[in-house]
Amino acid sequence: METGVEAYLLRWRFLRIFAVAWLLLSLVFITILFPPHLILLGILGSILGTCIGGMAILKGRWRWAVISLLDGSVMLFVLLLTQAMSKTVGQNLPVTLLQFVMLLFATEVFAVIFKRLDLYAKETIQSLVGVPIAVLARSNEQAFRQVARFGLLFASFYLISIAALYLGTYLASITPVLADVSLFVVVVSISLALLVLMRED
Amino acid sequence: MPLTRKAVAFLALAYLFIGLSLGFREPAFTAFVIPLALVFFYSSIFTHSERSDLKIKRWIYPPRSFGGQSIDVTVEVLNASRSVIADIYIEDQMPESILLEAGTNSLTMSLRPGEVFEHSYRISAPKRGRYLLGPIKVRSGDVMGFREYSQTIQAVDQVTILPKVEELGTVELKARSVGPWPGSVPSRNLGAGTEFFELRLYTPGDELRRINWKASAKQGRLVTNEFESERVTDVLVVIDCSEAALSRLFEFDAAEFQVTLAASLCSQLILQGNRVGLLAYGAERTWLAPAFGKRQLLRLLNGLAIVKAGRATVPIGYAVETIVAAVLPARSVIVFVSPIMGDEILDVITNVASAGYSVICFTPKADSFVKKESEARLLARKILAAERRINMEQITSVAKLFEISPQTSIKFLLRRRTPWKLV
Repeated sequence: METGVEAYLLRWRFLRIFAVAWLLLSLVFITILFPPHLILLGILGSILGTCIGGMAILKGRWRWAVISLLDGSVMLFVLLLTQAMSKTVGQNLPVTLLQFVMLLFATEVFAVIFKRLDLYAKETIQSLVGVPIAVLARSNEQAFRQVARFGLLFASFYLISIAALYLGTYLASITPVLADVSLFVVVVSISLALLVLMRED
Repeated sequence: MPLTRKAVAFLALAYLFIGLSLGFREPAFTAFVIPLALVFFYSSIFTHSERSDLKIKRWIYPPRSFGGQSIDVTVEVLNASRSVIADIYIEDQMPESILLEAGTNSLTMSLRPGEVFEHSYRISAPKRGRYLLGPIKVRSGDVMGFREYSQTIQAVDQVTILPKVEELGTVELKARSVGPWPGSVPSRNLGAGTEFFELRLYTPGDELRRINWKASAKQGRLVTNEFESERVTDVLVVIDCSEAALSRLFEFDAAEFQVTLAASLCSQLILQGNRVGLLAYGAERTWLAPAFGKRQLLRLLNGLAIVKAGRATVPIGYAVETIVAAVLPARSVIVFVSPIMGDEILDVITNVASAGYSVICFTPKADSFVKKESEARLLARKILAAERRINMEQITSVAKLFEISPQTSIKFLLRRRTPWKLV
């Protein structure tokens, strides 16, 4: 095998490790905010999610990846429910929103990896013919670029969401009529998104 | 473009948060909708709306193979649209019987406008036959994978795996009718050849090397050797792969063996300068009028490549006699490659032989009954074998019959020139 291929494989391995590490980070981050009596559940969920996610990446099974992401979603949902019970959702919103955005980013990273899995399969790599090294290079570059773009995108989305929330709170304090501004913003943005989404191609 | 499952999941999530917000009377839950709405917004803004205009070409090397040889396939994709196509999934579809040996026939790529992308993969040598590569399945969507557009590009190419050809060495034919061109079939006429025909008195102008010095010494005058001229003849190779012929009498794939044998015979007979035609009788019927040359050999091999064993729609007698009457000159040679099962083939061979055609039959050798089988099956096999032997015996009275085993070299068997005899 050529040195170039080894380098690309190394980068690919790095990307896969990054995906699992990011998932672990997201899950641990969610677990930290779990109430003490549910912390064990959080730890268990984190371990389970990371293991399934890791296996999904290792074996190339998208279904397993979906299960691990669902595990993260359930954990976040449990956390939100506990916060809703104790009426502390608003208080912890910046953190839980960050956890949510981290999970969304993890989903995209997994999607980027699974789209390219065929090309990096052991059998494909071991039997490269002619051009595929160039294909590998392109694919590698595109995967990294996409992950970086998604990272920036979700970071900016998080910041925009926080800004919208603070703006809503600020406006509500000036004019009590706009107390429900956040809901207003959400409804407007969703409607707008749906309008754009459903437009005629 | 229809929404993907991912888009539906994201939308469901957004409405779940709105539902939670309403259920718990907690507006903070709606904050979670903002990133989702932004994702949708981004996806809609940065998505090209036009259909991905792709130009796809495929090269196959070699386009024609004799089997046992890997085939390289190169697919060239050109993004002829004016926008970037992100994460386009391209799958070059191929039949299940073809296996990938190297590379991959599907991959995900992003293409800039006007960008050409070339991708290669290798398929392992498939079995004899004609295969179609393609069409190419293309799936593209927006940057977030919320909408997907699938299209099938009708780029279909054909790969032909020709039957294996074995070198046979000279096949000696005896024909009652020969053509005017020099060849290897004895013509029963004087002329340039290698086989001695008769002696005659020397006449001035005769080549010195043709003088038979021994005979001249005996007779006391110069005597010259005369030779039998050798010409070409017309040969029709009939391969019988009908369902009736392919009984359980053979432990090996008799149809494949017959195709290889027919291909080898066609190749050798063409090499010897004869005009060779073909009639393949089976699930698919093919016929080719006799002709000379390498192109004809290629046509013959192409015809043999698509031979399929199975139930035939017309009786073999009708098929053979119609084709023979239409394309074969009288008293030419007909080579049958058949397992000689059933009465029909026996009637055909007898009919064409009695019509004046020289007939040679090649038949696969059936194995002896060594397998553990139920008594009834064993008995059935024995009956079949006995019927076949009777047929073979009857054929020997009108034609030359060679019984060939896949384990032995055809070349060796033909060299021995010992037609089958009932032992």
